[in-house]
Amino acid sequence: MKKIIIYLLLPFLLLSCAKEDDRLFPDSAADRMEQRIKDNLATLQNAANGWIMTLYPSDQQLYGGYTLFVKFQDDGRVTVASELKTTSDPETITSLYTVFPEAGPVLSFDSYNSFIHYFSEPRNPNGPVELGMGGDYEFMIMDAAPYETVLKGKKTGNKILLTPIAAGENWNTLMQQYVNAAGKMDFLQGEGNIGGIDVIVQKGDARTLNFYYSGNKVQEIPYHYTPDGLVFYKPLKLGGVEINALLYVDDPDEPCLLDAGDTDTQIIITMK
Amino acid sequence: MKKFILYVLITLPATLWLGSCSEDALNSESTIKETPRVENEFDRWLFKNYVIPYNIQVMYRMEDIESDMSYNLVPAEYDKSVQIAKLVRFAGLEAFDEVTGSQDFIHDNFPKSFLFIGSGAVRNNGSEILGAAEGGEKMIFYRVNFFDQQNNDVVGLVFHEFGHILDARKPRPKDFDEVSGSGYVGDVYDTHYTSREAALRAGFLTPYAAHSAAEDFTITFGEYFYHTSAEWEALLTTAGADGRAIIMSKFEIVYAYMRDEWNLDLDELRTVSLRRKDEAKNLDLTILD
Repeated sequence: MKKIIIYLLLPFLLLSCAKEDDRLFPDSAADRMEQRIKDNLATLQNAANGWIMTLYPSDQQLYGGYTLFVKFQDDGRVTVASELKTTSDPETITSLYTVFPEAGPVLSFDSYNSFIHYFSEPRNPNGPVELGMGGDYEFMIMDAAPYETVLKGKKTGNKILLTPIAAGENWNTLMQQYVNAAGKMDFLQGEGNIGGIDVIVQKGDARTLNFYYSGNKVQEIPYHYTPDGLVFYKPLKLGGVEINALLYVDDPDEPCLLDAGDTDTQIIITMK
Repeated sequence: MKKFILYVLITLPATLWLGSCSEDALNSESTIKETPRVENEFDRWLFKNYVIPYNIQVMYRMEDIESDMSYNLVPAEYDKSVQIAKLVRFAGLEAFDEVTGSQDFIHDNFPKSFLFIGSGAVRNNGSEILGAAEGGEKMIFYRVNFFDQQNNDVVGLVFHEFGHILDARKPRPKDFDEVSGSGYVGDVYDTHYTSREAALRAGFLTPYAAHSAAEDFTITFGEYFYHTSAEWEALLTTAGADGRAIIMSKFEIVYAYMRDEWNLDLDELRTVSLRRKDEAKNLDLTILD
């Protein structure tokens, strides 16, 4: 009898009720994504005078970077200005945008805006017919903060920065400074010494700088213009120093480029 | 041992029943969230003019998961999307409403979504795709940003793709395929027939009609009712006696198929759609009424 009871009870050993797992996060993944999108949208829209957007098309940054101004409105529209505006273009073009969920929040310029989509349009004569300049108009939002928002191009993987435009700054005046910068820094070649190594700097076909040194070595650095100089997409590393940007000194007798960082690098412009 | 197994077998169901855990309540909130978009004037117009009468969703904003990712595409322009949506409704969908007497025909048979793309789908040799009807469920309109009200073939494209869909729903008669039989040449149609005249003489209304019987069928359908009788006659004259005979025998099959399978009178459809084509040139496509 005792045996029978033991046998009868035996199956109970097999059972165990799964205890509720402690949740790592209080909300579901979908809720957290929804919240993150709301937060990101608020950050984008809260820049009252919009953002300076530095867009590098092409997964190899073949053409360097370009400056756009973008203002995200709460009615789902975005107003854009471009340094590549031609005389027949309006000052700004307004189109639609969405922030939608994928693996993370994605900012998409999802109706046509020639200032933005110029960089991704096939048949753009700067690139192959089916690709154009190979730029993005969908960006993963990596980090959104009022002082800087970091995006990553979905196709190119390029890092795209948004920095807020100061309140009271006039868009047209500010954009003119970017346009003028590209005009006045029209040098072709310069010479200097970086970290003890003699270099010759030449402008590439688009917005790239080629640094030649030690015989036949070369580093190609994509850059974009700011009113003060040239900012690099990735740092130039040479002779133990790192250079991220160059200031342009518009001396009529001896125009030159100076490291915007803490080295005393100077590149004398030898050919304009 | 046998006894042991017996006891276990007897008690197991009971213990499982007794020991079953309390059931978790289902969360009533969906984990699938809608993309947060602010509804605009065009969205409301589309709901009233496409969703309610025809159950058709117009996707005019770029959604890469809906598009063909083997191409580099750009989104459609808002204003051009408005114009095309208005034109397609007036000159395309409503032509069928008028001929069939209700919105049911389009509601029941038309693809359920439109996707508007700003650029063409450009291949590396420079050629482009202008439109596509995927599996009868989605119609893709490329080159929306190049739309010109006075000079476009958007509605012709809609009719062409719709021809494919009708064909897929009720297969065309086998007789049709046998008329041109081995004359179909597939992808080399444009090198095989370098001019429209050459195609016509071989019994194809356009070079592309020589691609396959399926294309030939829908081209015969669309070309007939979207040309005036004078234009149609001119095509047949260019085709010569042999070409005319081949085209006409295919046309008669298409005509009978549309009448018998779909209750569509192609002559009536021609009258209505050509009238609407003319009227559409003067339509204000920019106002969302």
